[in-house]
Amino acid sequence: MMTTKSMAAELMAAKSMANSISARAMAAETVPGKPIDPGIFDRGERMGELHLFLRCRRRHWLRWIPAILILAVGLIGPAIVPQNPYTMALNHALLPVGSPGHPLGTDDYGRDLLSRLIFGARTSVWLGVMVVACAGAFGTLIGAATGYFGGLVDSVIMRLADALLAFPLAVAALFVAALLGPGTGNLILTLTLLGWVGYARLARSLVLRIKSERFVEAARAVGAGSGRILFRHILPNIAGPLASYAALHIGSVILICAELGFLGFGVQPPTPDWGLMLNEGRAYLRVAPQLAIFPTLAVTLTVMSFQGLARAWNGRNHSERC
Amino acid sequence: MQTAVIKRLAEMGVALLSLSFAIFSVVRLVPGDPFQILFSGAAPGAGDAGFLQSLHNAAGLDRPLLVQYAGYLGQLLHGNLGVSLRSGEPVILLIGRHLAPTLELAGAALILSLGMGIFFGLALSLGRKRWWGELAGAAVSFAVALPSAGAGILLIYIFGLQLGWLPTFGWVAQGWSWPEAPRHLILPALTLSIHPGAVLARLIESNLATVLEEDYVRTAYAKGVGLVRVLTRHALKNTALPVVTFAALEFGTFAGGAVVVETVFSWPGLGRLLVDAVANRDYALIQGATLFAGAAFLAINFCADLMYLALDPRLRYE
Repeated sequence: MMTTKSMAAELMAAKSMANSISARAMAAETVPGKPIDPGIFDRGERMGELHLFLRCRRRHWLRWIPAILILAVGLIGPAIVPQNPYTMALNHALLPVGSPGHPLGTDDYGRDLLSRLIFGARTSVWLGVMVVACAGAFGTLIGAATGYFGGLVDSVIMRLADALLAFPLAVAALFVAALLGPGTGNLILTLTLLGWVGYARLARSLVLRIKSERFVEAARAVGAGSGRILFRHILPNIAGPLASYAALHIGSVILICAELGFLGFGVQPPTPDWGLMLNEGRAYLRVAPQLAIFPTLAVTLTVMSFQGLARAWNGRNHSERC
Repeated sequence: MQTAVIKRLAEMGVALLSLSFAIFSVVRLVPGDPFQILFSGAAPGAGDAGFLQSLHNAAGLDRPLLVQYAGYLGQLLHGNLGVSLRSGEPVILLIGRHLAPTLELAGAALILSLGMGIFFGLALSLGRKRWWGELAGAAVSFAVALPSAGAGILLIYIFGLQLGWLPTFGWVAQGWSWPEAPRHLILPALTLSIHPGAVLARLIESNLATVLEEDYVRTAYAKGVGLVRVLTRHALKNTALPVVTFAALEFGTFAGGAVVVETVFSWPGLGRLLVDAVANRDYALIQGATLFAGAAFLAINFCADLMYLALDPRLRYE
C-alpha cells in the first residue's frame, strides 16, 4: 500500500532515469571470446560512461542554451546592468515601460526594474546552486554509502528519508522556514534539510542496481578498497541520472525560493529577489502591472529552462533522442 | 484484508503520535519565545522579565519537556487542544473558524485540477506531433514552472482589474449571498489548481503512453473499436490508480492550507493560520494545527488506499 504512494511522490523523471542504468550496463557487457582486459573495468568503464554522457548530450545543445544564458546572466549580472539596482530616485518612481534610461520602467522607489531583474537572476541562481550543491553532495554521499554498505544504518536513514518525504515539500519548507526565521542562510539551510532526501534515495537505488555488476566485482577482485570502489567506479557510473535530477532540483528550488521570498521568509529587502519583487509589485498592480508581471515571467522562464536542461540530460533512454 | 486495514490504522496512529511529539519538542527547542514575541512591539517596560516569567509559569512552560508532553497528551485524550498562547482563544475554535474556507478552496481546486489534468493529459498524448499537442505541451511546461503567487497576481490582473469580472480578494461564507460566495472562490481555486493540474497532465500522459501500447488496446482497435471508446472504456480506466494517488496527495496538502494563495487572495485559510502561529511561536496553536493537518493528510491517503481496492479488484487478493 505504501509503495504506490511513494511512487507518485517521487518525480516521474527520477523513475525513468533510474531505468536507463541497467540497460546501459547490459549493453556494456563484454563480447564473448574476447579476452577480458582488467584495465577496462577501471578506466574504460568510467571514461566510457562520462564520454557517453557528454557525447549523447552534445546533440541537445539547443536545450542547454536557456539554462546557460540564465547562469551567465547570474554570473556577469553586475557588469551588464544598465543602472545600480539599489539606487533610489523617488522623483522617478513608477515610470512606465519604455521610459528613457529605464527600458522596463522603475519601481515604487524609482529603482530600475531591468537592473533589479538581472540582479534577481543572480540571487536565484546563487540560491539554486548553493542548495543543489549542499543537498546534492550530502544526499549522494549518504545514499551511495548506505546503499553500498547496507545494514542497520541504511534502514534507519531510509526510514528517516521516508518520514521526511511523507509530508508535502512546500508545507514542510514553509514550516521550517517560519521556524528558522527569514534570511538567505536560513533559506539555504531549510531547502538543504528537505532536499538531500531526493538525492539519497536516487543514489541509493542506483547503487543497489549497480553494485553487483561485474566491473564492481572485478575492482574488488583486484583488491580495491570500498572507498576506491565507491568514488572511482560507482559514483562516475551513477553521475548521469543524478545530474539530471540536480537540474530538475535547481528549477524547483528557484520556484520554492520565489514563493518563500514572496511570503517574506526568504531573501530580505533591499536585495533584489524575484519573489520579493512580486510581493512589492503586487500593491501597484493597477498603475504599474509590469512590476509584478516581469518577475513572474522571469521565475517561470528560469524554471522552464532548467527543466529543459533536465529533460535534455534525461533524454538518453529514449532512443529517438539519442 | 481486515488485518491489513487494522495494521494500516495502527501505523497511522503511530505516525501521528511521532509527528506530534516531533513538532512539540522542535517548536520548544528552537530559539524564540511566544511571550517575548507578543511583547516585542509593546512600550518599553510592558513586558519585563518577571512578568514574562509569570506568564511562562502560568502556561506551564517552565516544566520539563516530557512532563509538558504528557500533560498535553492527557488533555488531547479529552479532546482538549488547549488555548492559543497569543489570543487566549481555544485552538479548536480557531481551527474550526478557518476550516470551511480551507475545505471549500481545497475541494474546488481539486475538481479544477482534475479536470484540467485529464483534459491536458489527453491533449498531450493524442496530439503528439500535431500543432495543438505541441501547444498543449508548451502550456503545461509553462504552468509547471509558474510560481503560484505569480499565477494569482496574473489572474487578478486579467480577470479582476482588466476585465472586471471577478472579485480579487476575500472569502464569503457559502449560502449567505448568492452568487457572491462562489464568485469569490473562482480565482483562488483556479490559482491553486494550475500547478497540480499541469503535473497531473504529465502524469496522465506518461501513463497513457504505456497503457496505449498494451495488447488489450491493440485487440480493441483490431475488433473495430473507435478511438474515443478505446480511451473511455479501456485506457483511461487503467490510469485511474495514479490519478487517485495524485489527487489524494494534493487534496491532503491543500487541506492543511495553501499559504501562498491564501496570502494573495486574503483567504482566511488554515495555512496562513499555521504559518503565523509558527512565526509567533504560539505553541498550542502550532500543535493543534499540525495535528489536524497531519491527521487530514493521513486520513485522505487512507481513503485513497481504500479506493484502490474498489478500483482494482486484483489488489483485494494480495
